[in-house]
Amino acid sequence: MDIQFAWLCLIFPLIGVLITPFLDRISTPVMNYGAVFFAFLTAVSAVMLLPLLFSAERLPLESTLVWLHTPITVSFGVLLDPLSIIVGNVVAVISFFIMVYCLGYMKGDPSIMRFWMLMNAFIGSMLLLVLANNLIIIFIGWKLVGLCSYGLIGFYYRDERKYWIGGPAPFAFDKPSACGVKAFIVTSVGDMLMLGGILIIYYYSGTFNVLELYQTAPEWIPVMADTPGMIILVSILLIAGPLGKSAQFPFQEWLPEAMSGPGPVSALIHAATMVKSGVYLIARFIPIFYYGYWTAGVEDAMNFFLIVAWVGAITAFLAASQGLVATELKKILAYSTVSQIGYMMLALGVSGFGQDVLVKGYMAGTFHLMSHAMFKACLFLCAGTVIHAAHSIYISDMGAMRKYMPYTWVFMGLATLSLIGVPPLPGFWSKEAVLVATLESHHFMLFAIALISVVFTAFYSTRYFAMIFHGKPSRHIRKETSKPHHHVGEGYRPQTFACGALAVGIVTFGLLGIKAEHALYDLFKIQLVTDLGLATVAHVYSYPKIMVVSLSIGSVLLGAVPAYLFYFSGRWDPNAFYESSRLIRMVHAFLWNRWYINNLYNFVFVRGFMGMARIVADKIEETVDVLMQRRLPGSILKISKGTVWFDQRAIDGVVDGTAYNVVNSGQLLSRIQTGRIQEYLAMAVIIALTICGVIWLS
Amino acid sequence: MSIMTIYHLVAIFLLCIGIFGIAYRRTLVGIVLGIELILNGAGLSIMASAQLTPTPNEIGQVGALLVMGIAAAEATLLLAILLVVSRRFKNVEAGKLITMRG
Amino acid sequence: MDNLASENLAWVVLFGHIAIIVAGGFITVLSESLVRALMGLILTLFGVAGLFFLMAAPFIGLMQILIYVGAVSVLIFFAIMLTNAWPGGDESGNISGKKVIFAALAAIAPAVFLGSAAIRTAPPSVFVPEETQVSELGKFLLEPYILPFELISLLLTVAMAGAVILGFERRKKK
Repeated sequence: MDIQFAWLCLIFPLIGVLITPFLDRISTPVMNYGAVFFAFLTAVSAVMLLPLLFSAERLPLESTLVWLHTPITVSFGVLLDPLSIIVGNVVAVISFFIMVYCLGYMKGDPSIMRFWMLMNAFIGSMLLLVLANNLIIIFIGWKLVGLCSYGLIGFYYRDERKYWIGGPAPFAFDKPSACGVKAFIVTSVGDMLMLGGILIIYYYSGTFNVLELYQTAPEWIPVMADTPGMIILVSILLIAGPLGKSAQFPFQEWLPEAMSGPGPVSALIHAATMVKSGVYLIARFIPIFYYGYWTAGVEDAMNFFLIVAWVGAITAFLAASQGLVATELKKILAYSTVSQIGYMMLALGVSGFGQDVLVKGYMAGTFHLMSHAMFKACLFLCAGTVIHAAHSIYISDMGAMRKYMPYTWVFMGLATLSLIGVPPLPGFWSKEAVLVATLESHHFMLFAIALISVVFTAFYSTRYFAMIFHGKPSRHIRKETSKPHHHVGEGYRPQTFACGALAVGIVTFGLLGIKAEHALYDLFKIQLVTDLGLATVAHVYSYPKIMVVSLSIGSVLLGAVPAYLFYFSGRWDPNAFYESSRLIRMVHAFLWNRWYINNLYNFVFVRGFMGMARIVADKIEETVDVLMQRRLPGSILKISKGTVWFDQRAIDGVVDGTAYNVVNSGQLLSRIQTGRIQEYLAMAVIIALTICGVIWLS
Repeated sequence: MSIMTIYHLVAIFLLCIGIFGIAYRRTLVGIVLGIELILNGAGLSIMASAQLTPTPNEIGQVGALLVMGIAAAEATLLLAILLVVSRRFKNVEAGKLITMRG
Repeated sequence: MDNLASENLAWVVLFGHIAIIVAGGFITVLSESLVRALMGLILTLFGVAGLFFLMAAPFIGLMQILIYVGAVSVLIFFAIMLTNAWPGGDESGNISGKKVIFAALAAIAPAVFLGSAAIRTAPPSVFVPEETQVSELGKFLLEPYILPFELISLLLTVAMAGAVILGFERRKKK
């Protein structure tokens, strides 16, 4: 019975999608509650899978339906192992809370039916991705998730002015429809590369099934390694998909623009679930490449881990630095998401650097995935409430809102503290796990970059929190609150309930932090070492744990204290600091413009393609057009003139001339008939006798 | 050239003169005169052919008589027609007896 | 018979008659006056009668004179009178050259062709014709040739009746 819950996890969202239009016929509240009810059923089904974790020796479980028989057998099934169960639960439960939040946030929106259908479709696709047992179904779920994300980012596709993000003036604005397209295109680039990698693996291994890939790895990895550069190529291709979906460097540009969707959409897709799918897939591929390097001795397989780790570290640093100066609230949270996913990638990457850190890194990445999903979802939901209350997306337009929104202050504060990494909240435990894994793999450069990112994270988190809830109220807020019917306050009940539930979850998880960490460690040890047989060595801590803890708390303080002084208490003045030196101004501009990466992409790809299109249109199409429309008919007309001339002169001449000659000769011949009988007689005699004489005499 | 040939040539001469007269004469009576000449030539030719050959003579003589009789009847009728024509057209010139236009 | 002397005489008589015929013919067609043309015709008729006599057919010769000269010529005289043809010089006036050429050609064509036909295909002929009895002629008319005999009388009757009808002037009712 247990594994059937996995199927139910997939079926309930599907039913939700199909049934929503019919529920809408009955009435709108019925539809709202009905959609959320199906999300609830999905969450329940996922939770029912949790008991399996306690008897982890039975995992992995698989259940398949054969889909196609010929030409190749493609089957469709679900795979349950600790990774998929954990991630599946994260997805289902958080999705349910976010759906509850939507009851309040999206109240009164005219196209809410489309919203519910897309959300349910998204939940179903994400679960499909997580629970699937072969790479093709994972890819189908991958693309479906991208499709739902496009639909939800561009939900306000009619581009009303109030939904534009970007700016403030004079900086450029972005419209929601353009943002949706940008997200889809950027992730599709990564998706296509990943598909290439999957197909290459199929070519060598002959199977798409994940478990079979693990088990038959000894056969096909050496064969693949024989072709020079193939392993590196496959690594790059396979990593490109997750990098695209998880918005890592160099694909990170779509996530800041994805904030043009409604608030809960950002929470669900771009904080808690979809962007985690990349991490999930990397985790799925780790056993293959770990086996390749440590057991089969293929040198190139180490590149997989190197790329993942370094990309993760660089992204973490990059995004955190951009978050230091941003003024849109949701953009700050987006940069934060990108940065934190960098941490997860870093953890998964270092898991391959040594035989003793495999389980540690794997566990750290997954643990950070779970805790980040919780607190980031809470942050985004609260941000949605705050933005709605303040009627503005810029934190510079907010300030001193604590007294208007006390609950949100509490929930957001807890989530921010978790983000910074303050014990005993889960963010602290998971970040510490990542740092320990990195340090134990002896890659100190990566460790240093990770630490600096912690500093940045602390700084920007404190900054935005202070600018929203503390300090002096901005002009905008004063204007808003002076209106008679102002709603600078808490949102609807469902919103508060959802944020509160998540906050409670954060605190609970944090208090259970150590226990959770050990439990996960054991689980993954069973999965990776016992079931898959990956060779590991017992780990000996080279560095005392207390060192890592102190380093991390130290960097937190290093980041938080200046921000406190800048924004909380106002002791230091940010504007004066900004004006004080030209270097600071340049750095600020550099960070504000997102390291000019967006501009570079715009210039090269967008302008480049449009330019090529223009060249094709002008040079090629125009000449062909002129040729076909003007020259060709012109020459044909000239030829026809020749035939006209010929027709008039020659043919008409012949016909008319014949007629003229006939008439002429008729006139001539008519002169024979004179009417005089004597002439007739004479002619008759002459002719008759001449003929007879000639005939007779000859 | 036998006698018969001479007679035949005379007959042919009469024929030619007669045709010339028909074509040449202006009045209708002149045309009738030509016709008489032709008929005479015909009769002479028949007679000569019968008399001067082993053919029985009676045939030629009867033939000549018949030609004469026919000639007479024909002359009668011709002259009756001539009267009618002269009354109708008020004119006896052959060249003017045209009702064709053009 | 030795006809040496008579042979010459015969030739002279023959060609004399032929000369009469030729002269008469020319007078008939070429004279301007109708009466003189008629005289020419009569001369031709006498010439032909003479030739008949020379062919040892006296009965037919006499018939020729009787019928042609006696009846037909008188008939033509009356026609000349009745049609108010001016006896003095009716055939005067300019005759177009085209007519002359046509007539000449029309005359020469039969002359050439029929003449050459007559000369080439002449069967052998008897030099001296035999005379037949009139009674033989009469018998011939009444036995083998009875049909033409009757028919010619019919023809003559019809011709007379026709002529009368043609020439009849209705008296106008007053």
